[in-house]
This record gives sequence, C-alpha cells and structure tokens, in this order.
Amino acid sequence: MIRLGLQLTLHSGREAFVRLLVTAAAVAVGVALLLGVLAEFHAFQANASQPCWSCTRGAPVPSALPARGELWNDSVDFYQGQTITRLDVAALGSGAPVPAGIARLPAPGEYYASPALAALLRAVPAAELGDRFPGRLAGTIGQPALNGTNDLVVYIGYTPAALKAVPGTSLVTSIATAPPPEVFTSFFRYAFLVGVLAVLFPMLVLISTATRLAADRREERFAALRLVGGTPADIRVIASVEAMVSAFLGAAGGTVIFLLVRPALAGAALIGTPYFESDLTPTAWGYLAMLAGVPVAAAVAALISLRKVQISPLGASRRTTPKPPTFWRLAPLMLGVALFVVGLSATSRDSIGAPAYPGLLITMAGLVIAGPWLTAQAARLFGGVARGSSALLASRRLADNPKAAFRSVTGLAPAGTAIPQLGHDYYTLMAIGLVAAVAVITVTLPLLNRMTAPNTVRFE
Amino acid sequence: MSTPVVLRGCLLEARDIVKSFGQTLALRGASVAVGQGEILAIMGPSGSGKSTLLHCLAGIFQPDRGEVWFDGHRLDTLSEAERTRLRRTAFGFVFQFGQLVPELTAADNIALPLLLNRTSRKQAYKTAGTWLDRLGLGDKGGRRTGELSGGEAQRVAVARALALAPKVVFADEPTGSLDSLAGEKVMDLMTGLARQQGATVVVVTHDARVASYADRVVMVRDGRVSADLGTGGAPRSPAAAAASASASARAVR
Repeated sequence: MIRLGLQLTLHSGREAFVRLLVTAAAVAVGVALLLGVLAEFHAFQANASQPCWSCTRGAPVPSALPARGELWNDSVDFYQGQTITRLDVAALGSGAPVPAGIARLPAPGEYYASPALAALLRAVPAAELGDRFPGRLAGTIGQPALNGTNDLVVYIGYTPAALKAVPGTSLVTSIATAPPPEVFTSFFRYAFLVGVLAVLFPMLVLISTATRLAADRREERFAALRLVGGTPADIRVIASVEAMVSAFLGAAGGTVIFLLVRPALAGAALIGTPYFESDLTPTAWGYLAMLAGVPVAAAVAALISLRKVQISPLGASRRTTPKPPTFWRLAPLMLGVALFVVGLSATSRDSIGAPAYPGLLITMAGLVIAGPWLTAQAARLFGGVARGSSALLASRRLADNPKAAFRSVTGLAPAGTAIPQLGHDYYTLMAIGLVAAVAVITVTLPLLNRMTAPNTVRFE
Repeated sequence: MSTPVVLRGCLLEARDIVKSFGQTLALRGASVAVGQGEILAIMGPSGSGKSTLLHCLAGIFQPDRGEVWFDGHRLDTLSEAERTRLRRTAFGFVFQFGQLVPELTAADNIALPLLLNRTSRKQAYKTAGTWLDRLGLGDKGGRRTGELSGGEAQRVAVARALALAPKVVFADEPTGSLDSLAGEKVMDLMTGLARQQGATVVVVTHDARVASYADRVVMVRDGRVSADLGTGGAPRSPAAAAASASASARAVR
C-alpha cells in the first residue's frame, strides 16, 4: 500500500506533480523560517554561554613580581564609534594562563588582533589606528574569544617591567571561564521564545494547509479507491504517504534554503552582533526534528483531516455541518486586551514588560478563538454590499464555514500580536518570511483550486 | 457471515428493503432477485430509487429495513470491512462518473483492484494488459484516464470491473455520458464479456437500448419494484428464469 501511495504521489501526471511541488514549496518556506529562528536562538545561546575572559579580575601588582601568572590590563578603546576591546598582557613565567582564542601569549612587541580588527588595521592609515598598538601583528584571535565576526579585539604583549608601570594593571593567575553575568539574556531568551511561537503557529498552519491542498480532489480519488475495495486503513496509509512525501521534500528544500541564506542571516546582526556562521545552526537535533518531525506532523494533519470526512465508495462528505460561531468567542480576546492594558500600566523599567505578558498570551489565543466569529461578521457585511457573482460566492463560502476560512490565517494572528514585541529587526525578518509564505499560498491556492476543481459527486 | 440459505438459481436478492436519506424515503419496500449469470436491467424515472436499489444490492448502502442476500448470505448485516472485501473480490462496478482515478493510467486503474487484493504487481499488470487487449485498448495502457475519450474510459472501467472475475458487475448508467455508438460498444463488451465469465450484471438505466441487452428488465417507481417486464431482448438463462419466478412468487405472496 505504501508503494501504491508513492505511485499516486509521484507518478500521477503533471497536475499532481505541480501540486506536489507547490505543497513542498510552501512547506519549504515554513521550514526555512523555523530553522532560521532556531539557528538564531542557538547562536544567541552559544554567545551567552561563551566564557567571558574580559570578566577576569586580578590582584594588585606586588612590588616583587612572582614567577607565575601574568600582568593583565584590559580596557576599551574606540575608533569611529566602534568599540575595541583591548588586553595588554605580560607573561611572568612559562606557565602564564592564555586567554581564549590564541595558542600562546603574545611576546613583547607582538599583538594578536581579531579578524575584523586586522582587516581594519590593513584598511586605515597606521597613524589613525595601528600606531595605538605597539609591535607587530603576530596572528589573529580565534572564534572562542569573540562574540561575532565584527568584534574588534586586540591582545598586546609587553615586558613585565613595561606593563607594571601602566595604571590599572593587575596580577592574574587564572583567567575567568564563566559566562558573562546575565543582563539582557533572560529578556532575549523570552524574545526568542515569543519569536519561535510567532513563527511556529503560522508555519504549522501553513504546513497543515499546504498538505491539504486540493483535498476535494484527493478525497474523490480515495472514494474511487473505496469503490474498488480499498479499506479505510488503505486510504489512511495512502494519505499519510502522500502527505509525508511532499512534507519531506519541503523539509529538505527548506533546509537547503536555510543553508543558502545562512551567511546573510549570520551577518544580519539581529541583536546587534553578527554571528559566526558556524554558530548559526539549529544543531543536528534541529535538522533531524525538521526532516522527521515535519513529515510526521504532515501525516498527522492529513489523518486528522480525513477523520472529518466520510469517504464512501460514492464520494466524500463532511461528517458534520459546522455550527455558526457565537458572540461568546470574543470573551477571551476582550479579557486578554484588558489584562494587557493593565499589565502595560504596571510595567516598570525593572520588569521589562513582564506584567503585560499574560495579557499578551491571552490576546494571542483570544484572536484565534474570536477569528471565526469576526470572519462570519465580516462575511455578512461583505455579502450585504457584494456586487457580482464572484464576490457573492466568496461571501457565501466565508459565511458557510468561517472556521475553515479563518484557519488559514490562524497562525498569522498570534504572529501579528507577538512580532512587534520583538523590535523592528525581528519584525522585518519575520514579516518578510510571513509575506513570502502567505504569497506562496495566496498565489497557488486559487491556481490549484482551478486546476483541481472536483468532479460532480453523485448521491441518488 | 450468517448461516447460508440456499435459494435455487438466485445469486443476489433484495427483500422488501427500505432506505431513507433524512426525510427523503428513497426505497419503500423494494424486492428484486437476480439469478446467477443473469443480466438484469433496472429502469425507472429520475428519483425513483433505482440507483439506491443498486447501491443497496452492492452493499454500498445499508438498508434501514429489509434484507439483502448475496450467494446465500445476508449482505446487509455484514460489517463495513466485510462489505469492502466483497467489493474487492466479488463485485465489479461501472458507473457513469468518478469511478476511475484520473491521475492513474488505464493500466494502473485496471490493476488497482488486483493490487488492493494483494495480487503481485507483475501479475496485476499482466492481467491489466490482457484486458486492455480484449477491450481494444492495447495501445492506451500508458494513457491517463483523463486523457481518454468517454467511450475509452468506460471500456477501461469495464475492464477494471471484470479483471477480478467478479460474481456480479454493478453498472449505474454506464452509457449515460456517451453517444449512442460508444454506448453500444461499451454495452456489447460489458455484457458479452460478463456472459463469457458467467458473471451476473445488474445495470441501472433509463435508456431502453441499454435495457435491451438485459435478460430481464424490472421497473422501479416511487421506491418500489413496480413491474417485472421479463426479457429485454436477449435470451434468458435458466437461472434468470428461476430468479424471476422466485421474485414473482414472493410478490404474489
């Protein structure tokens, strides 16, 4: 039966192939966006947990220097508005601790610079920048010491006698390896969580909608299979195979898209620092979850949609007539808005908006719950003023099943609520992604509907 | 399945069946018997319940009341799974619309019930090829059914219906969407090949020319079998005569 499902999916002609490609494309957009958000989160986590060498605190320099440890003087410098993290260091013995990103301490008269600073040094006259760092460039500082590709860091080597005389110098016997203290980390972690949710909802809806494209046509095919003796279990297997194939192709395509845009995404500096490309990865588990989880989710969506349909040998029919949504669906939305407003008024500088979060979450859920009622009202209003057969048909279809009509935009509702909380960079990125996703659906659905208009289903 | 009851010469029988769809009463106590190897035409005006009767006989619909017997067993009390198995092993279908999978080729469609019946892929396609040749479609096996003419598509449907050597072929307006020439060709092939195989055929039609291929014609009106018109033109088989007598006797009682 799996083979038959594959045959129906892959060898059913041009129209079915186009349907497969469109479904896969829609899933790919969703998967690429999800991978992007997961990768950003991973990069952010990796950065937040990176050892903070500049957090090293030393002891006052004794008058008689010991034979172990090193003299340490970290400071910041500025060049055209950019911050340069500078470490002046002098080894006191052969076992002096080495800061992250280099293999050995710079000898007196040498310095190591981060790749971005090294490039800057090559680009600008020495009198403007290079002369600030005595000695010659001995090498570059590696990724473990840096937060991102544009970090400007320099380690400068001195003799102990020379550095001892510099104010602010201390004696260091071990370099800090703990991550930096959390200042904005928890805020950003929340922001990412909201971001993931904001993208996850619409993407799940997108994937689910995409895998149900041309459901009418598919259900007719299943009815034909039932007529010649296909069991409901056979139909479920075939439907699952169809959904999984397109979702897997989409997941693979989405992974490729993500890998292609990863360099641009790494350089986008969404929270101020361009990440290293190698940090911008959703981890192996993330990839695995996409490549396995998305097809499984698509199969589940296909099976759930099949449960709502009675497929008999003569055709397909809905199991139930949907009840019209009632006014009470507005209640959670109104409650959420009220809580949000109250929460905002209680927000202080210390709480960073936390009191407004419950209201925000309830508003997100409330929009999803209220959506069908709002759709029904909009359809009624639209129907009243509609001119022409297309507008009349559209308003009737919306009014007949506002739940189904709203389902397509369900995911966008929480996204629309949550994304502005994240700042304009996230807004731009996710808006672009969502517009792309919606564009795929908007352009392809009418096309597919036209291509796959169901034949007459007879019931006599 | 229930205990077999021997009905001499009768393969398929509806006894006083009632079927409604919501408030609409489609069948109001319809009875009909079909003999082994018989070709029975069910005629009647639109909305008379003739298709509903066919679907009840085929186990697609379960009647609200009454009994359907097939090969000595109650059909109407079988589970969905058992009725599905019957459709796969003992019944073939030729409908006016929608019974073929347009995305599949003609050969795929004919092989489909065989594949569902766990026949090996090689054997299923070999059988499909044989049937395509028998129906004059040997060069159309690789075409999708959506690309075939109406007559060719119906011949594919006939091939698919007969490929499993069914005991009964149910045909609902099989020539309804065809011109008279194509319709005659389809009926010639369907009835001729069914007779060769010894299969029973139940055909619903409003077309007297289609009915003329039948051994016996019954009329359905207002949800009841109102008349048994006897031969439709072709010679009746002894089993058909027995089934007709059996049904007539019950109607008299």
